[in-house]
Amino acid sequence: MRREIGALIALAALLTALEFWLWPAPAHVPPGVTAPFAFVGCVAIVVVAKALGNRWLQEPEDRDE
Amino acid sequence: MSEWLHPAAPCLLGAALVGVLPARARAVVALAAPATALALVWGLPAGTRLELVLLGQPLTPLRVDALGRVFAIVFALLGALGVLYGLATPRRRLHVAALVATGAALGIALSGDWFTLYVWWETLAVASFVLIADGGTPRAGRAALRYLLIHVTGGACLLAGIVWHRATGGDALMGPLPLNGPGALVLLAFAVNAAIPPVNAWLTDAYPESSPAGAVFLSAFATKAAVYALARVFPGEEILVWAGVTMALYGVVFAVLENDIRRLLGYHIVSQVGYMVTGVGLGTPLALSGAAAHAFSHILYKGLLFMGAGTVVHATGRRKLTELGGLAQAMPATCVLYMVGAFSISGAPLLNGFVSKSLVVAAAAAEHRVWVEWGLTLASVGTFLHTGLKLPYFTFAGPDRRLRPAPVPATMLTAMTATAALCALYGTFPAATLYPLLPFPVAYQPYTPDHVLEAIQILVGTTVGFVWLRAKLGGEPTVTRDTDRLYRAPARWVARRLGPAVAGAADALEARLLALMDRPAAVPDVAVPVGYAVLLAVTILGVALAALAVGRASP
Repeated sequence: MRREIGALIALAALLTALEFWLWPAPAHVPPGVTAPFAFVGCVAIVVVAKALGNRWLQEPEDRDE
Repeated sequence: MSEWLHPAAPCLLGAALVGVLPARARAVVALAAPATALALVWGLPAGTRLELVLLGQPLTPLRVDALGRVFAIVFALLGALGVLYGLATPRRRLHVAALVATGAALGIALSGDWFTLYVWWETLAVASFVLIADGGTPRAGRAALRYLLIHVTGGACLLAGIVWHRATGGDALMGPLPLNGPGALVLLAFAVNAAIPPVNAWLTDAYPESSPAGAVFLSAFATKAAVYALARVFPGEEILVWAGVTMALYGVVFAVLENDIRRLLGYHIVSQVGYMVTGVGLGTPLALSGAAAHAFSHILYKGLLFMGAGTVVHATGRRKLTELGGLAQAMPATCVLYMVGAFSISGAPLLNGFVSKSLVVAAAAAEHRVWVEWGLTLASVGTFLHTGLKLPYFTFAGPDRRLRPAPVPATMLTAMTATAALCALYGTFPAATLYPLLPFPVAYQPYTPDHVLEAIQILVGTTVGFVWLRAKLGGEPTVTRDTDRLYRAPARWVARRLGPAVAGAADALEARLLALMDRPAAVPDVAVPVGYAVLLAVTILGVALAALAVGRASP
């Protein structure tokens, strides 16, 4: 898993560098924001959903319809 | 000649013929009907109208403009692709219901007046009910009846709103309404069909219970017909902007918890329809074109995703992530074609979701709606997390369950291939294919270096999060409470106290419905919801008429 994450982070860094160096003024998103936003957003969605699920939303599959 | 032949007509005629023809002729007619409808819609120029007077009411059963035409084209297109996908399923009632649903969706998109809209609206609800019941299990039968309950209620709201609107001097022609009394009732009816929370739970309750082919039609029609109606009647309503962003995020949060693959995709219908509702709420020409474009794209890529998931269900007989895994080697074509849909819904370049999603987000950016823009971008992260990573990983890769899937019929793979090709065609050449269909001229260029880079970064950043959290994202043997829990128990409590007369009538109706569906007529709890639906519909109509009478009596 570490190697996979390392490779993906390297790819994200390369894309961010491209954003900074090749297109210094993107249309409406500051450079270097998108990939970290996606990572943090992904983690936030999972954490929030799991917390809601464990606390309130999930119940066993054999529930009474 | 074609301007006098309503495009819904071939579908309804086809449904009637499919009901009586032998198997081989049935397949030919079922394919020819939506294809003919598509040709008719394609040939109808904007501005075509059919007007008549019936019982003193001016009716416009056919009105063609750019907004209705783009929806009608994609409804007919998906109708044809869905029929092709479903040819391997020999059940007569599936094809009849699918053709009626396609015709009703076309009827909604081409309705000129309110009463015509209402008739098609209810026709679509009944056809969808049959498509859900076609799942063939007692569970599907119960979900279909719950679907009918919700949609009869929504339809009653629509009829009450229309009657109120017309009786107070409103125009017979369907058009923008203010959010006053009748407008609020009509908006509520549209919200039910669009699955706007908190009236969203019917969708994920019902769609996964249908057959693989039935779910393809269901995924396309009801919610997108509602998006069309919202765009026609409530463009620029601010409440829709926030309802849309809420939907977009609501769907991706609930999808994290899902174990059933088609229920997971159902939550992503809620999320994607959120983009369209946001576009309608923004109300600018770019936003409305974006909403229509996203509906067009969504019908294709979501149809493809439901085809992919349905093929897995068809071949393995399993539908839960906890029961699936390691299917990539046994089902490589299904896996690849599913991934085309997954990348499309996730906004990957060269596919249609990239173009249409960008139109809606760009419309929000153009209006300086920063929170809307970032909310939709966050929803896009969640979309790729589930449909592009979680579902395919735990279905096609992940732990090998040593499943031996049955062979996939060639018609299923052909339909999936054609749909995937259309996703790529509309995504790669939007200016030549998609933009000319949209209600307003669009000059937006999605393929700029920074935008493509941004889209790829979203995919990569989300993948990092998925790989890191992968162990926590596998399916769990649970179901998720949705907003239906707020009204199911109280509704059951009220309905059980309404007396034996209602229960008796409902029992008779239930027995009739179950007999039609070839079900054993002994499902205990479904009589009450049906009776309750009828009573609720009558009550809503009564309240609306009483309000109307009071309104007219007052000076």
